[in-house]
Amino acid sequence: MKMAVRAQIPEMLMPALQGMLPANITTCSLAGEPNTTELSQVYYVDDHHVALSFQFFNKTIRNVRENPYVSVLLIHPENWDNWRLDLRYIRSETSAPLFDDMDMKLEVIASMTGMKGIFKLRAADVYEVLAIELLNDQRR
Amino acid sequence: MIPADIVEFVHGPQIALIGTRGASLRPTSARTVGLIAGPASDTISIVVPEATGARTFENLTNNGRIALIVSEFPSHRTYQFKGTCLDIGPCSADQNAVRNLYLEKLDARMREYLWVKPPAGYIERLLVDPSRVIRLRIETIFDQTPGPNAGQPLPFKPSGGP
Repeated sequence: MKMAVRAQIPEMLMPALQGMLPANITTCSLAGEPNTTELSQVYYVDDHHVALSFQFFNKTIRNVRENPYVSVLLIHPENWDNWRLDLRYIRSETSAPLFDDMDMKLEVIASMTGMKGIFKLRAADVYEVLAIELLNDQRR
Repeated sequence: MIPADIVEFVHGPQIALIGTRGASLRPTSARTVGLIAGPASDTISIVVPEATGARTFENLTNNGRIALIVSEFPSHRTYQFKGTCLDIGPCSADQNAVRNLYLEKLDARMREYLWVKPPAGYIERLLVDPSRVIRLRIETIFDQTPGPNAGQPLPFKPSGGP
């Protein structure tokens, strides 16, 4: 069972945007090939936007530059509810304050997950939130 | 055929997510609750709960393209499997039993290694029926372990049959 909520980030989702558990992102090329990978950081920008950490020049980034729509899966760190966000890429930022704040948090995440020296923030990619779903697949 | 070490890895248990896309090229992520790599074949059976898989099943009915990421913790060893959906069917009793065992082992592993532990009874909450089984025929396998080899294809050649 899933519950759709309007595309405004609800208060109850905020803990899932702290980077305590890795997220997942799926993108799609213009040729129609999906690609999925882990994502270190989903950062709250405002009630209608999030920023994702752009760390590597990889298939994810190539796809997003071709097709701006992505799907992100988040885990709430307290109750482990799964949330799915449909997003649309808007722009990349490489300067303060957003970039610096995400860069600092990514350092912390890298340190906690044994990825220090591997994770490096290249840009803070800002996305518009199109839809939010609580994937209520769990017995209560 | 899937290399034996990859079959063993897939059966981990590991954290795995499936990525698909719709007719308009909008992608969808979904969590999986069990993986069964076919012996001597190019297929992985992916268990997805019906409660959360509607968009995934719809996408696969439309075009069949799949990206599956399987990640081990705490090592971060990660592979992405890409290919086509052969079919989607009900989860059999045997497959349900495998799913249950998979989740129990995953729960124990998460409690041992993750610094953010799942809440009590988390796995019981995931055992929601019914689930469906997606059979993925693998075409390419990519190393996605964070580091210099991330994104490199493995020397895998499909055998041409399921």
